[in-house]
Amino acid sequence: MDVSKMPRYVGPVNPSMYPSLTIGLCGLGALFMAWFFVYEVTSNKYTRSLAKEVVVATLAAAFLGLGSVFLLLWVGIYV
Amino acid sequence: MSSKSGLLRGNSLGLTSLLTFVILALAWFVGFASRLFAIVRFESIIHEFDPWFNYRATAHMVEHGFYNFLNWFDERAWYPLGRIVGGTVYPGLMVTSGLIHHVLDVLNFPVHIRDICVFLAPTFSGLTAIATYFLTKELWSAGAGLFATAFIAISPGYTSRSVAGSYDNEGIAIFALQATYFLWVKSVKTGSVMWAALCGLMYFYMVSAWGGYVFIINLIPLHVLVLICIGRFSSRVYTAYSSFYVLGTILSMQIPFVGFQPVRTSEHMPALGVFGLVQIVAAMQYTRTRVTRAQFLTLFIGGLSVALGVGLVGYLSLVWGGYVAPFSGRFYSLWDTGYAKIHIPIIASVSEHQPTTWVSFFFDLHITAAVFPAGLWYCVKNVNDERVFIILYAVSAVYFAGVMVRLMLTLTPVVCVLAGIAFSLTFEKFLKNDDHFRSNSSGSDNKQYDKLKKQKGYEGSEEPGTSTDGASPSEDPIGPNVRSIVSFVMSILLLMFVVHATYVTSNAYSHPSVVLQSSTSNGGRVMMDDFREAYHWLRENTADDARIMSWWDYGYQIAGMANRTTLVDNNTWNNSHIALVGKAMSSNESAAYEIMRELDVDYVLVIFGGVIGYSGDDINKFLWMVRIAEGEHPKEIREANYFTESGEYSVGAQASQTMLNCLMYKMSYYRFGETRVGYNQAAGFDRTRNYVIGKKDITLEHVEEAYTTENWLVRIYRVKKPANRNGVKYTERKIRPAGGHKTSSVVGRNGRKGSLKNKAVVVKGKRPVTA
Amino acid sequence: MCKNIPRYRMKVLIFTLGLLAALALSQDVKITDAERTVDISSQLAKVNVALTVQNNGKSALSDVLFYITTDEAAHLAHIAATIKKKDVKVQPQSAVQGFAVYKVVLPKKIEAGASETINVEYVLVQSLVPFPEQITQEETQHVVYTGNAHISSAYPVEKEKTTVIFGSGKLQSFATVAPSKQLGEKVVYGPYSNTAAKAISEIRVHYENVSPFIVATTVERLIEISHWGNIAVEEKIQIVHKGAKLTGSFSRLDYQIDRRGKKQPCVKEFKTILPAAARDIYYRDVIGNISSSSLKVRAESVEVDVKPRFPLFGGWKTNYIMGYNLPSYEYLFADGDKFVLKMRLLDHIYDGMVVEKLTTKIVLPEKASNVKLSTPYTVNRRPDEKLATYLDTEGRKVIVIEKNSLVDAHIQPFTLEYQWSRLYIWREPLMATGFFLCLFLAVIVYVRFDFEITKDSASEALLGVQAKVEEVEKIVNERIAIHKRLIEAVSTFKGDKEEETLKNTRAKIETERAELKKKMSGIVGQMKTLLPAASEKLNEMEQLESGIVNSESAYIEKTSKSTTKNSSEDRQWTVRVNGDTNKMKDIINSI
Repeated sequence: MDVSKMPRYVGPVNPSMYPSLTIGLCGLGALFMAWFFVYEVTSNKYTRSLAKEVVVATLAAAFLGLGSVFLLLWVGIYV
Repeated sequence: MSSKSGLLRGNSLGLTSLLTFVILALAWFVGFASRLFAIVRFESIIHEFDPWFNYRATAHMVEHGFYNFLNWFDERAWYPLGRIVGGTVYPGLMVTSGLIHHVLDVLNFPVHIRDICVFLAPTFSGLTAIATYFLTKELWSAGAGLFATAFIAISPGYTSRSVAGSYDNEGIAIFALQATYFLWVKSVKTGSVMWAALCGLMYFYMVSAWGGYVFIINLIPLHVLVLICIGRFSSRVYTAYSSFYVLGTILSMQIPFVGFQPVRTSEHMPALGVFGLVQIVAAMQYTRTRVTRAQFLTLFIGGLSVALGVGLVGYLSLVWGGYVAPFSGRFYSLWDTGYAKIHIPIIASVSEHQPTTWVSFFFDLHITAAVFPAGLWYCVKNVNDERVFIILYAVSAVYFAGVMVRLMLTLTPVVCVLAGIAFSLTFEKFLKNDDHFRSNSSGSDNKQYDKLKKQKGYEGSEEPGTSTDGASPSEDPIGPNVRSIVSFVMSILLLMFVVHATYVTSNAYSHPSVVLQSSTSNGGRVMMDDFREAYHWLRENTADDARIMSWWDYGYQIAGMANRTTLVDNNTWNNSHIALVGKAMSSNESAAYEIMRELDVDYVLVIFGGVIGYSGDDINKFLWMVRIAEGEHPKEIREANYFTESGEYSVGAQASQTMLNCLMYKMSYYRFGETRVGYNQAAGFDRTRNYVIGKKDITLEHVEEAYTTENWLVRIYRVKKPANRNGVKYTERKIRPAGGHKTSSVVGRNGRKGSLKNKAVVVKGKRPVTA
Repeated sequence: MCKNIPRYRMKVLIFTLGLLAALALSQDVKITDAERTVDISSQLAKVNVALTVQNNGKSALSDVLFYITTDEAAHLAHIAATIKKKDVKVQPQSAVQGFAVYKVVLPKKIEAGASETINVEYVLVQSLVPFPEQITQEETQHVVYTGNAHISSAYPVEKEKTTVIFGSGKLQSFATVAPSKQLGEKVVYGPYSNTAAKAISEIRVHYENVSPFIVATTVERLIEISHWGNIAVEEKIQIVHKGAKLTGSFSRLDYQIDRRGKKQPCVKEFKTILPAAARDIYYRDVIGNISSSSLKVRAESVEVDVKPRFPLFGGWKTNYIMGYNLPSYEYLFADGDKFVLKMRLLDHIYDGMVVEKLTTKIVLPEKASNVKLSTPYTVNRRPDEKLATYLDTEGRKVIVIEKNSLVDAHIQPFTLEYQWSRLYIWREPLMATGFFLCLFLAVIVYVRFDFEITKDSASEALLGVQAKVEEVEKIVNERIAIHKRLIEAVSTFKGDKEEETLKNTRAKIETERAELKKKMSGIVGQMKTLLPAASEKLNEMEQLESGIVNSESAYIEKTSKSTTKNSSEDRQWTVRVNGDTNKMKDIINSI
């Protein structure tokens, strides 16, 4: 095995993208989260629909999850 | 939100709760962010003095576990006495941050305990804001609550104790205070045992966090007492207070430091008395419906007087018998501001125990100080059970804040609540933009929504023009011009508050005081890191068990940063030990050496600001050392000896000999006479006091300079081991037969007769000369 | 048989045999010329020996033995040999009396009768002893070098010379082993001729040495790989000034007015060279940042002027932590799932550094497997550790390497190979997502809990009504949409006069209406039990609706004949529909 012949490893995301990715993803996530919570507050047990709740929650979680990973990377916690 | 008014208005309900949530979150964020000035300017570091102890204790707890922390005997403090830390701290703060650390650790999210400590206070200030929202909402309306939230989030009076790095009990205690009050108000309103029990639990948290819980345990009984007196007693109050008192007292006794105090000290007796009174009143109410009026009156007067008499006699006899401690000095000093200076100089010597000046009311509260009386007035006008509480809270807090600067902290929340009410009412009056909603009985949501909009404007993008559009002047006696002017002025006031709060937070309250900052002539920043330089030197280059003597102010820092044994520290529990250190500092070198030898002192640390003009140094604190020493050793130390002939305190040429020869003076100015701070200054010019020092050729006999920091701010001296006895020449060692038979009396060199040591010597009486 | 021979005889025998063997060896090989320089101007003793080895034996010589006295061997940190500027292997052998033995393996054998020049370099640490041991702040530091006037050699030496370079300081004294003399900044011993093997005659040089005598007692180097493209390095360093100890007091004033500059017996600062790509550099200790340091970014490196919190006098110690981030492409290579890290085992701390104990820890990403480590020199590999940090589940594998006594020459790269699937990069985002999802699911479950001890039938009914009303609202909205569609259909009919489409539309609308009506009547029926007042209002609404529907056909009849768009009838009709729908909305709101 010759190290010098191997390609160099570059991270999957350019570090200069971290801030915009964080803000974008977390913002979207917060939007979905707000939707989710407003729905939870306004609906009652007769009007609530589980499918809608789960879908919105999943979307919010996905965006927030990715966003928070990039937030960690942005502040210098390389996970 | 009541579901009735929310019916068929799902969207408006959703919007309202979303807006409320967003505003609370923003308030939290703003409160958090505005407390980070110190981090941005300096670094993530624990500030000042007490936080260093809290940090050290927390680190100890995290390392050794909770039970070991409770049993911790700290042999590194108060040498040679030591300190039982577990039993003499309020563990709430340490447990809170330890718990957060533990949870994060379990989630595999390692954060250094120092960072948790640093960021704890800003985080909790957000919680305080939310607790304030709920309290105000219970007292008045949700709109007022949002105003109060915004105020408390940035109010300088609270920020001063909760900036990042200020890791102190107050940081979490104000949250506990507000939450306890909220739960109390809630339980009085509902009369439900659940809320009262929650109140008791929150009170327990408060007790675990701060000694200021005594304020709660006196204010709540006072509230109950006043409710009884003005005829507002009800079964709700009875349920609330009985549950709260019993649960709260029992829980509070679980804190080792509090222990049996709730039943054994006078500070807690009013609560017990009111508890008894509540039972009697409840019994009276019960009997009133069942007996005739005449019987009732007899029962009432007889019963009440007997109960009061028995209670008072019982209390006095318990105090006399020593079962219940009388009121402490700290308590008296709250009523008589001159008390502490005479009787407990150590309390008076702390700057934050001084009476508050008018300026600091404005400085810490700004417009809220001017507006909150209006809120108080509205509360008095529309009084109900819970508003009685806020009135009492406001009145007592104002008084205490006037007595002690430190208690400004307890005033700030109530001021924010009342200012929130005042602003909310004013805006409600001048900003209502649609009469249609007012005629509607379910208008509270709309009103609230209205206020939310304003609130948001206040947070940042204020547009006064939009606030009045759509106002219909049809029925309203207030014209649109008046409306716009009033709301404009109010918005300007709010903006000014924001500007002031930011300014004060960034300039006055965000200094770690461990690192000093000064600016050069061309605007650059110079960090003076002398404290840490010295502490790190001590940590690395002295023996692990070295004992360091310093004035008590620096005890916690030495323990925390240098990890060395100290003689006295900021936990000023032993006055005589502090007085002994004060005596050593104010005695001459050889007398001080005796004391230091007795106390096994290895190093002495003094803070000296003469080179850079730092005013908080030991020479400026020196008079307090003298005073405290005089309190315990009035024969050796007298304050008057340290003044010049004209009665001034000076380090210059006029200073008295006692001053010039005391250890503190010598250690501060050792070799300072050879320095020159500027070209046009004389050698040995003290920049802090603007004097040329009185004695320039200081020689030290029993101590030697061990380390002095870059700017001379911290000077550390090594206490020398006792020197060998002076050698005796061989010729003198021989015993000379002194010329035959003259053995009975040996005449010394100065021609006096020798005498036996410790032999009673008769001194001829002499009339004492009184000055 | 051995029993017959007394023990001392046995010893004599072995000794004689050994001696014979040595003689045989030394007779074969001879060193014709040896030149040694000992550089003791810093805190190290750097020894360079040039040997010309001659093979007088009959067979070719494959390796040459090199001796170092045991005194020196105790301080030996690094040894290397070159032949014609090319590195050759040096292997430690078992020691003989008074000497440590190293074997220089020759790449090309020395044939019988031929000769070869070998350069051996070795570095001794902490071999210079301060004398006097303690000095005051005003004094300068003097040290004593103790060594051997002769080259410690396994073979007889024909001609040798030793030069001791002691630097710019003042020479106090030196032991003479004639011929020896001082030449400027050097002391020269020799040339000596025909020295026997293993000759020892001790020399001492006592001289002024003001170079910093700082020793890094422990260095803990932590390398953490993140596959997000970062390598984080953190070094915890303990430093002691091991020169002459400071005695008496330290006076800041004397220190400030001292004009000796670098000759002061203390270390104010030193320079650390970091890799050029280093970012986010921090320099701190247990109690926080050390603000007194400066950074210079150069093309090849980043230079940090490390200034401890206090000047280091003899015997004083300090510690600090320095850390930085590096982009992964500098040191991490990848081929599919195979990754190779090539990094320095130890990095520069200061020039002429001495490290007593190095611990290098390499934190691999989670799930890394098949780890293979190869190091440039022998090290002590400790058992692997586990470290659980941010967003980890099972912890990351930590490779732990230890080595004692290191110098500049040990700054060499290691390679670490491991397997890691690139899909694992999704673990962390998924975990964060999962965390949030759990949170939301908890909310979803929470709102379905019922904490009421007693059922409040009124509020229960209210909720039911609310749900129904929402359905009604939906129906009404649909009806309004249908009305609008109808009006549109009519207006298009006016344009194209296509009966078929209008009929189709109407038929479609009819079926939709019937469905809605069915739904509505169901709701009205349920409403009767829930809230009779509301059901009446709904009935009222139904009447309104049917009113519209009934008069609708008449309207269509009327308007379909005319061709003008937006006729007055049209407008009237729209107004009527709008009015009625508004009434319906009002009814809903009133409930």
